[in-house]
Amino acid sequence: MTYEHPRKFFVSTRTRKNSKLKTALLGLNPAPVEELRKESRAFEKLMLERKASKHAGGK
Amino acid sequence: MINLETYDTALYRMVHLTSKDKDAISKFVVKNPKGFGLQNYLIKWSLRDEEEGLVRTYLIKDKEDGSIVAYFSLRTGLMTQRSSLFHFDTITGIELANFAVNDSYRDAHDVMPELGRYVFSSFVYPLVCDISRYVGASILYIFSLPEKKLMGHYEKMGFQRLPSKMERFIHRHVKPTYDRGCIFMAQRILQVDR
Repeated sequence: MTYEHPRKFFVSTRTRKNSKLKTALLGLNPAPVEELRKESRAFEKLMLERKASKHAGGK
Repeated sequence: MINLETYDTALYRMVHLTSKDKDAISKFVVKNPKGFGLQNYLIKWSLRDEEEGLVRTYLIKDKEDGSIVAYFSLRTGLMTQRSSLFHFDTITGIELANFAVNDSYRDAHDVMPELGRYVFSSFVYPLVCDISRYVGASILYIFSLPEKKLMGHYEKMGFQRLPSKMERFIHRHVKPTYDRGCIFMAQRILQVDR
């Protein structure tokens, strides 16, 4: 989407260089979903085990 | 409407912050002195921002005892960039404006260090993906405290820094005063099944 700028303005070299920003942002990698899911499953399993052993110890 | 119960895990559940949580959030602790702003935000500002619709804050609660495990806040953001003499391109995003684990919960429950990533992958990321199905958003970004260890955690969650010139541009143009000294990190949002 583009928006018309209301007034003329000075175009600096720095601004032209920043035109790469969009490409860089859209080229970023997404989250490593599978890796995170795997780690979450392991975390959950261990935490549940800890909770279970705590409850068993409290009986 | 997004039903937050669908995000429940075996351990925790996610709830939208309401005034009923006022007492509970007053006990939220962030031990790292640099992260005091995160504790301060939740206790003093989060409910006001909720009322004004500026930021949405979510609490992660322990299913067993209801105590607050962590919290995070989301808001929309827009990066603007000149594409030609008279036009601007826009890059839409969602800002993970606040993200903190409750240190008092961590101490009391003997929690493993991966808790932050668990919260991110079980609640933050799926919610962001669902939101992006309803509202266009290309990137998820955060202004991280400038600490190597913390930034390492964010990298494991998929956040990346930009090349230094672009990072400086972002810091000069869109970084809130609230995040002074923090570093911009972002990741692409993809439509994924969860």
